[in-house]
Amino acid sequence: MPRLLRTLLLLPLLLAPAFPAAAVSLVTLTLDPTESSLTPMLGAPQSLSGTLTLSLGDVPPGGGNTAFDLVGLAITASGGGTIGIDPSVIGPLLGVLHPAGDWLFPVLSLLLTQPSTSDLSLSIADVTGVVTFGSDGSLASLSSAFSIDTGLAVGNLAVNVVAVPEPGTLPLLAGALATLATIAQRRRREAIR
Amino acid sequence: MNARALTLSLALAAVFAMGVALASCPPGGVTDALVRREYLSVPGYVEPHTPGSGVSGVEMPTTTTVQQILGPTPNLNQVSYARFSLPRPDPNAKPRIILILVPGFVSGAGPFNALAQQLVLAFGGNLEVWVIDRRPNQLEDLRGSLYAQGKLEQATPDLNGFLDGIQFYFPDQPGVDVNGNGIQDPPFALPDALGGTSPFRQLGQNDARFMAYWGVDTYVRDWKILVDQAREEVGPQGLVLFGGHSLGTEWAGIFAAYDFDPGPGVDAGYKKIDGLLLLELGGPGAPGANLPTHAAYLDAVNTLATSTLDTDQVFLPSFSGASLSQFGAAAELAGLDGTFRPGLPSLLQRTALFQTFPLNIVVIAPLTSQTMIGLFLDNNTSPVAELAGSFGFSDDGPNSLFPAIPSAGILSSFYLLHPRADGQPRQWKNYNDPTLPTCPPFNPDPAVDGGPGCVIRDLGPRPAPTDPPARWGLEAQVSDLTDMLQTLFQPGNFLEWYYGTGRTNLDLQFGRDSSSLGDESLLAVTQNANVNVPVLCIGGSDGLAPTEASFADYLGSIATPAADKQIFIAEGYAHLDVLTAKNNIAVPYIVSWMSQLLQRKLLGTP
Repeated sequence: MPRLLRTLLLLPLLLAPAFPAAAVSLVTLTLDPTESSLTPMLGAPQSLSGTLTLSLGDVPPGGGNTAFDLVGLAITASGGGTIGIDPSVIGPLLGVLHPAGDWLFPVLSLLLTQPSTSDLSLSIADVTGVVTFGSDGSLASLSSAFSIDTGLAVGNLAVNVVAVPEPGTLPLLAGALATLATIAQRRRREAIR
Repeated sequence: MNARALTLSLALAAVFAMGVALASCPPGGVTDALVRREYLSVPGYVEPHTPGSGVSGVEMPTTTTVQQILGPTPNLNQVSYARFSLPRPDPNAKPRIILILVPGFVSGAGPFNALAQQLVLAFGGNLEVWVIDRRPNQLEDLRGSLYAQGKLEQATPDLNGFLDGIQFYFPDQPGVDVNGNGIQDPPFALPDALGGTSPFRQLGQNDARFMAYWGVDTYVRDWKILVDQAREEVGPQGLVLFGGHSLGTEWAGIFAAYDFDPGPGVDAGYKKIDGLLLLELGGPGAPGANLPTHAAYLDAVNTLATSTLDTDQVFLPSFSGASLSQFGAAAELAGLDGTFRPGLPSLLQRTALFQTFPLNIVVIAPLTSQTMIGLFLDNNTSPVAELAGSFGFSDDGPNSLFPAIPSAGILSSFYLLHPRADGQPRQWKNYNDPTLPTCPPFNPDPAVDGGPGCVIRDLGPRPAPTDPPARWGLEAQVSDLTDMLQTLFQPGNFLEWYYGTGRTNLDLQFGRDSSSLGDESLLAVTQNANVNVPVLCIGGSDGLAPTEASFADYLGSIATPAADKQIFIAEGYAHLDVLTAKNNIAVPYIVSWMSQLLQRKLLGTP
């Protein structure tokens, strides 16, 4: 296989999510419904499921902060409601990831929908959370817990989110790493010859 | 985990907690109501000639008229502003962004409500908007308006009391019987700040000679106090943004270009802010021709300060031929009348103001107060259409087109509302009325046949980027008259009754560069070429800044890199709409711009 063609075919793998050398990468995370929930002060908790997609700067961050942008959100509550990024927002929701793994969205602009009712735009200030990294430097998990103060008698809504790279991402990442290892091994052989 | 969050949402709670349908919530009302508006005053720049400065031998005295409004020893070195915020769960929580805005020509803080509310909500309370109410606003005699409001807000509204409030400002005259009691009442008097009673205290030029020292230097130093306070609140990782609407864009650009160090050092305004937001005008222009020399400048200031002639004006006495302060009072009362007596004949039309020139040639039909305010604020019916917005229309009677008379200051034609055949007052259709009449493409004037005319005009195609600015696009109807009525009588109202002209006009001749004056203790607009903060410009295609070219002159004069000069033109928006539109299409662009700047700040990226 010609080297150029091989490189082109491998390009998607080389740009796979969470690869540390990439300046910007996309990571899709899947919520763990057993640990992700929305709990009204008055009422039963609802589990949350779905995905969120992040656009990241260098991860894990080196000496400074890095961009941590939410570019996709598709969450369903067990009660039937859905939560996504407010489509009136231009561009992604912009956040910051600190070297220690804690992150911040100064504002999280969401659209909430519920069957047979009007949609609702909602902006939440200073949503924070934490990500962890695997030994290979890839993003391993995300968690956040925050409350939404309705300012009304019904009180706060407590939100918990725990998410991990979606299953499909892990084999892709493993495949990319394996291919890179093969390429490196072949290059070493060629260099020896 | 420490996570503070805010929301706006009765509806959210309904969905997830109570199972109540979202549709049961009033659209928009719940969220808008959560934004808090406070009118605040803090000590301003101590301008030494100003009453209350305490600078012996320099401080100017106040007249009895001023004292009746403000008390025997007023301190006029105050800076006032309307602060828009969302209550936070943590009362000590600080916003990450504060946007400070300067109103335009003869404008108070009132017109900014809708824009400020939408921005505060979009950031979930992580942003505050502070709208400046310039110094002269504190000179307004609001006693009659407050009295009238109190009478209307009673459990059983007191209409006679409201009429007394009207007669405080607009007393009976021969042939004018405001309350219809058949006699010519004396002016209605109210307790004043000197312990007596008095009717409306309308300032003359000689009551405000201290305004000779309220020039650019005084204003920007007032605003620097707010900028410094804002910086303290948001911290070094937060944003302090500065901007303005209309002529306020000129003020904003001048603030950025100002050197606050009157000595040889430089303390530039732009270094105190993180960005400029220019709404519906293109910022400060180049210095004018025939600028005064240093000596002529000082002479002019001295004349303004010492003259006893009304022609030496420190404030604008009239606008479109009518007293500006009477306009201001009438706007307060009409706002009250339209809010508390919707659909009924306007009581303001009983006053001499509306029965004499020039208003008696503009208001010729019986109107409701909503229609009266609509007439003056809407770009289809206002005699000053260039400064108006898109608030709906009145089509329940014949309308004719009043021609433009540039020599008389009427720069574009406007609809004149004629009486209805049945004698009932003309009603106003708000911006969202589905029956507003749409014009044919490139509509000329369908009202000449005696019909109602039309309101949604097509202004034609967008000019090419290289063409001079010109209006284009399909006119939008976006601004809520009902909301506007309430801004007319709130603290920090719609009009600036005593808009400073003498000294500010002297200063504004220098535009964005006062270097030729050669005296930074008087005026120090010297840093414009060094201004290098991000700038976002918002225009309205039916306004005063209809294309990108509207901003080219100013943007070309500053050092900001091209990538940080952004422009958005809102199609169909008129001059006021960028402030007053209900679902403002410029807001997402402003929010995106601010979000990017905030992220850059948090990342430590220049």
